Amino acid sequence: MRVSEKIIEGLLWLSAVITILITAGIIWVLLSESISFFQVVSLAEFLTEDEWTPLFAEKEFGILPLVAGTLLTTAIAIAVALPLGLTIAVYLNEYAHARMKQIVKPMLEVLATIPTVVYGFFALTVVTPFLQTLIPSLAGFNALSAGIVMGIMIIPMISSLSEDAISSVPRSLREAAYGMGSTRLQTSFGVMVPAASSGIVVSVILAISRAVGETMIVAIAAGQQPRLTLNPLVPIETITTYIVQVSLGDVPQGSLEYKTIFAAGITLFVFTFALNNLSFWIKKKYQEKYD
Amino acid sequence: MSKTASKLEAIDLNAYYGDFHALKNINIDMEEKAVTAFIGPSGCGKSTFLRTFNRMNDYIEGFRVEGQILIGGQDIYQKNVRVDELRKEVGMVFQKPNPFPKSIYENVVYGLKIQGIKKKSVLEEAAETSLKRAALWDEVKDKLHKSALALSGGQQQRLCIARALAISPSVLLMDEPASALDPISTAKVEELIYELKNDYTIVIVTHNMQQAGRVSDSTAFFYMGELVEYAKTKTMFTSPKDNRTQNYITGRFG
Ligand SMILES: Nc1ncnc2c1ncn2[C@@H]1O[C@H](COP(=O)(O)OP(=O)(O)OP(=O)(O)O)[C@@H](O)[C@H]1O
Ligand SMILES: [Mg+2]
Repeated sequence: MRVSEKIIEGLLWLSAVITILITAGIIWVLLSESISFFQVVSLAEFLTEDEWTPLFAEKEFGILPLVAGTLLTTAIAIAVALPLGLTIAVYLNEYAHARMKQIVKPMLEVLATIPTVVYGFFALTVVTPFLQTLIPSLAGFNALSAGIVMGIMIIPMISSLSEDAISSVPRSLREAAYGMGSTRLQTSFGVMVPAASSGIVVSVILAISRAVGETMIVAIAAGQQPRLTLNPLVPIETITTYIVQVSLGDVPQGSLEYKTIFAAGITLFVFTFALNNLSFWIKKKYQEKYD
Repeated sequence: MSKTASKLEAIDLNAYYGDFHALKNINIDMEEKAVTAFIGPSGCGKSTFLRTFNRMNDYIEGFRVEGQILIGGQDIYQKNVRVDELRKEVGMVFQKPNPFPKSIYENVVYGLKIQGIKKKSVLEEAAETSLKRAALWDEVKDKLHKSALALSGGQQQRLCIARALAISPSVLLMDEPASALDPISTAKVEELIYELKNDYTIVIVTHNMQQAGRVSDSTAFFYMGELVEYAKTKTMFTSPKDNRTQNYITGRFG
């Protein structure tokens, strides 16, 4: 008994250590490659230059266009997914009958299992042509369609995590709200959603991380043209798409062009790292407020 | 502060959780501006019955009622009755204090705010009056904007009472409002009930015979879904008619 427990403990320890080592390894590769990049291109240039053209004859190394593209598609995705996801969560929690829940929930799960490449083509071949009938100036590749479809993709993430958060609010609180003469709507959005807000915020942050890291949809539907703009109607490029573009291209390994993907990668890493910390901070803040 | 208090009646009331017959043919007539206590062993249907007066059972799947519940002569189970409107007339205080995770002030004015009242002066005045009525004002007046969850259990329960009073209901339903409280807080809540009956029709569920004796004018004894005996509290406690009542109040079962 004792021995087997020791072995299990050892295995658990080992897997924890391996995880840490792998993470450290990834950071090490990112750092070392990008350090040699930053020996050629100054950090100031990287952060302030407003063009990103490492693959052209006249090279500019400003990350801002890629950051703008990433933030733009992410913002559109969240603008779609948050209201819809939250509404679905509230609906499932407060309005839907047990049978309805049994139908809607698996259907939402299906949304999450569709390969992103399918979403990408859906954006390119269905959403964009449809939106063009409404907005004639919309380019064939654009941030808007990609963002909207990305939003649809992350709806289940927000709705199911938010639903968990809302349903873990004590029943007594719902009764208090109803007992005071609240309608269902007032109960859901005035009491349940605020009481579940820390969980909902965390779901949104996870969704943002997902959107920031999403690659396929934007690669297919948003064009691959780095552009410093917040205009959703024109082609843009995101950090992830750029990395794919270079990795798949014929850029010689070890060249400066090649190293740009590590610089872009570390930028992405900084973003997700910041988001993680933000979610920690928010959780803590809300806990202090409600404890 | 309250509107005209209303009389409560049940006529041939039966209630079911699915197949389970929880309330059996109950007829009762409770006076306005009086305190009625519901007593009886655990599981006899006190809470179920209490909750029919603000239709709080509506959310339980499989629950249904037959017969009538009249408040001020109006049948509240009619189709055209809006439960949210009903609950503005019939306030409720629960067994476990359940303040919202908001500030003390926001808790008290919650009911007014959802009715669309926005004027700060009105809200502030209502908050002060209700907190004073609930005998909590002196303890919280300097921390109105602090979280309600930082209050003690007894204070939270009085806050819940203040919250219920703020919308001036005519009826107050209390389901074991003091069972989670220490003796001092219990005494405060009882005192409060005694005060409030000048203006409200109050129904209180309690397992504490002394409490029923102290605060109520009439007492109803329930046993296995039936209303066994209903009389003036004094009469019931001194000369109960039914054997089961006698046994229960003398502590022989329950
Ligand atoms: N949601 C429910 N579903 C099914 N049966 C229920 C439900 N709630 C209560 N009951 C049953 O109805 C009966 C009456 O319950 P009720 O809660 O009204 O009793 P009570 O007199 O308030 O008891 P206590 O003193 O323990 O609070 C019990 O037998 C209980 O098991
Ligand atoms: Mg009960």
